[in-house]
Amino acid sequence: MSMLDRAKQLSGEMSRLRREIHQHPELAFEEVRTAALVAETLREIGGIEVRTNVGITGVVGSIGTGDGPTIGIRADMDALPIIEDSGVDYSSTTHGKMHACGHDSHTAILLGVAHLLKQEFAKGNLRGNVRFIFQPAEEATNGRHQSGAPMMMDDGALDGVDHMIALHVDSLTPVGQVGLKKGHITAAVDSFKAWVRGTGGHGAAPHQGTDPLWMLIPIMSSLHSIVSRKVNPMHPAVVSLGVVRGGTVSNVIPAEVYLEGTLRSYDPEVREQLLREVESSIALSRHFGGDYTIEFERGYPPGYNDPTVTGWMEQVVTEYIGGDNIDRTKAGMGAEDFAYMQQKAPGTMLMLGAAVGDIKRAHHTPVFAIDETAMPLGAAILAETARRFLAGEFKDE
Amino acid sequence: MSMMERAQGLAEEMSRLRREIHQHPELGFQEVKTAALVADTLREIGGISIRTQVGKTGVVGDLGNGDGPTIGIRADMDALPIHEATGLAYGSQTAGTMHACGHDAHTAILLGVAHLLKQEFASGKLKGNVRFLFQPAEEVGGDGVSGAPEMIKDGAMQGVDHVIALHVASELPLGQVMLPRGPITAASDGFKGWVRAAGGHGAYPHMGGDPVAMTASVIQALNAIVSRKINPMKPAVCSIGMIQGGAAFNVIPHEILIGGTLRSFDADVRDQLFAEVEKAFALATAMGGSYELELKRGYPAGVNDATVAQWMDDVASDFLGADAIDRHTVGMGGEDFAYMQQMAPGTMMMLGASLDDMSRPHHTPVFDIDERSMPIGAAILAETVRRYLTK
Repeated sequence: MSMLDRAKQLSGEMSRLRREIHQHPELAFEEVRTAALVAETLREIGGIEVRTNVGITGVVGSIGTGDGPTIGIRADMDALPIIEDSGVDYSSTTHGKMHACGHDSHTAILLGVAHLLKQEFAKGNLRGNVRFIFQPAEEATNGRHQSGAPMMMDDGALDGVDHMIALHVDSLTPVGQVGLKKGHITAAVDSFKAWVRGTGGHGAAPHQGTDPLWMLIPIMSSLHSIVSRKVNPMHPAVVSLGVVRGGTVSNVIPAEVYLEGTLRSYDPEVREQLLREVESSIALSRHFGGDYTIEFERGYPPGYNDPTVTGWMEQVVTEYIGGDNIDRTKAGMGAEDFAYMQQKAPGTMLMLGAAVGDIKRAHHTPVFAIDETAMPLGAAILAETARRFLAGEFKDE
Repeated sequence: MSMMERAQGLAEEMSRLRREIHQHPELGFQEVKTAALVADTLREIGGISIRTQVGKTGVVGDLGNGDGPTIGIRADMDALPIHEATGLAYGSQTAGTMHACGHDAHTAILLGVAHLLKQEFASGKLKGNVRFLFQPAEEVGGDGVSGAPEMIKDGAMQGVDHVIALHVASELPLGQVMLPRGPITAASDGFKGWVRAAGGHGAYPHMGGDPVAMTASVIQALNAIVSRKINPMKPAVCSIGMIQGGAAFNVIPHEILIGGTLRSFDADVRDQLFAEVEKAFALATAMGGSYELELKRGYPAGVNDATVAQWMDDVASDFLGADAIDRHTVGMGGEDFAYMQQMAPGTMMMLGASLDDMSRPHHTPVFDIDERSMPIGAAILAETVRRYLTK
């Protein structure tokens, strides 16, 4: 029986696990109940060494022969602060929290993969190890500005891992289609907070003070020209303002205006350039007699799909759904903290089509939902990729 | 003897031809002397069927045995309206006209390739045909009016299965080449817009309409098109190159001219740029003025065919080593070779030709190349053809 057929036999179990998690969503670094379910399920499967509280609330499972190479498979577990309005009968029981990005299904799929690979190791054909990495906090950072992946890595979750694979469901792509691109797939993300200051004053007497709202005119024009005028057009980049806030009443010129924005890039030099150019734009305030403070927060690095590992996964996917159902170009300016793991161990993330097909159910919206029939396909791709790697069956292109 | 060694044997002859052309630069569609030199040289080589005045001043040479596939090789011949300041002994003898983009070298290299391939056909090991395409007017710009489409109209690409070309690169070290797959040159379009309002006395702005103030908003909108409207994954450029308006400090003009260039690879992005430029100018209407806009389509995006690029890559790897090949660097320049690539899958290679003394960018009065790049370029083109046509 093929891996895909065996994965389909597990679809009821994966669906049960996913719904259990979906009903009890937990935010970043609060995945206590989810982590307990994961650890308990891994113990039931048996033969897996389980470590809990890795990266605060993460769980790591290890299975293998001890010698040989090690491949890691990652699933994220955290939910979002969104009030669910999907209409499914296993909706969130916690008001204001929702699995609106599919991490519930990632976790359930990886538990299915653990089932499948346990059976494979029992056959005795594999040499090497698999590390199941159940990660907290992909969507948010803690007080140390760290998300789940680097927190788990600080706790040694990737020590000895040669390659990493993962998947992400995609609620806007039909079931039976996937995105699998070599090279960059997600962007580096950084953010800034800036305070532009003047003296403020009476709205009827602007000439008596300095007006930070007026300073915003050249500042915003400059910020919006960074990408079009300063960055090499061959390198993708984004500068977007997300917050502009200042003032309290109509007739008072405020003394301070607050700005927040996000910066996206792939190239490391462009990443540094964006930080410099944003500061230069905000510094225009000084030219107009004001002043500023700026803070940058560095976020996830760019996600890079290793061509070799991607080629392996592509061989498996092609057998299951045909080469025509693979989008090899899909990349965007979104960010993913799996990128940290890819920096440490060359790896690949697959985008798994899971559209329900009724209405547009975009990620991070209250109506987000997926078609669960995508789950066995995802589990089979991950498990078969790991199996062939450890059986030495891949021939590199 | 390898093709590279044989090309080295022709180095002096190619240099002589290049310098002859360099001294007598001719602008687009005026390449009369150059075309005559090309035709004469092809006749001297012999065995090549020659057609002149193809695409006005272009020259086509055909060599081969009739049956089998046909591969085209293109060189452009035109110079630029630039006053040369290189100080070379063989500097331009026509004031204000200069070969400042290396087309003199392209033409000389292709004549060297004709020599080399003539010898190959004489050996009887090749099956098929080579078409030498000496093209006028690459620099003139404008959709469908430059040298490549003019030659295509005259049948220069008929029966051509694949087409290859090279371009010298004065900023790339000697011995290195660029051979990217996929898009290599951008679609390059232009716009000219007039922002109009009543104008008036500078002391009484409230009595008229001020196109200068409107222009400020139009420029902001134009500069934000790429950063706010275009998918960041798709390369695009909107650059303003000219702003003209006004005659006296105390008169509000009634018209400001804004001109610029648009670059893109993706066909949808190309159309989107046109639409967004129009919206930016329409701000003038919203502010009480009016506008007129001329959009001028230029060359399409040039795409290197992956298969043909690999053929050249194999040859370049053998001659220069795999490390000498940059397969990734691509810019937003425009090239009318793109029209030929639309007719037949093909590839353009950038040939490193940098002199190490100082920066000598293309389209500047100090542009110059290291002539030692010429036999390298000739050998890669000729050997690619030889392998392709070998029975």
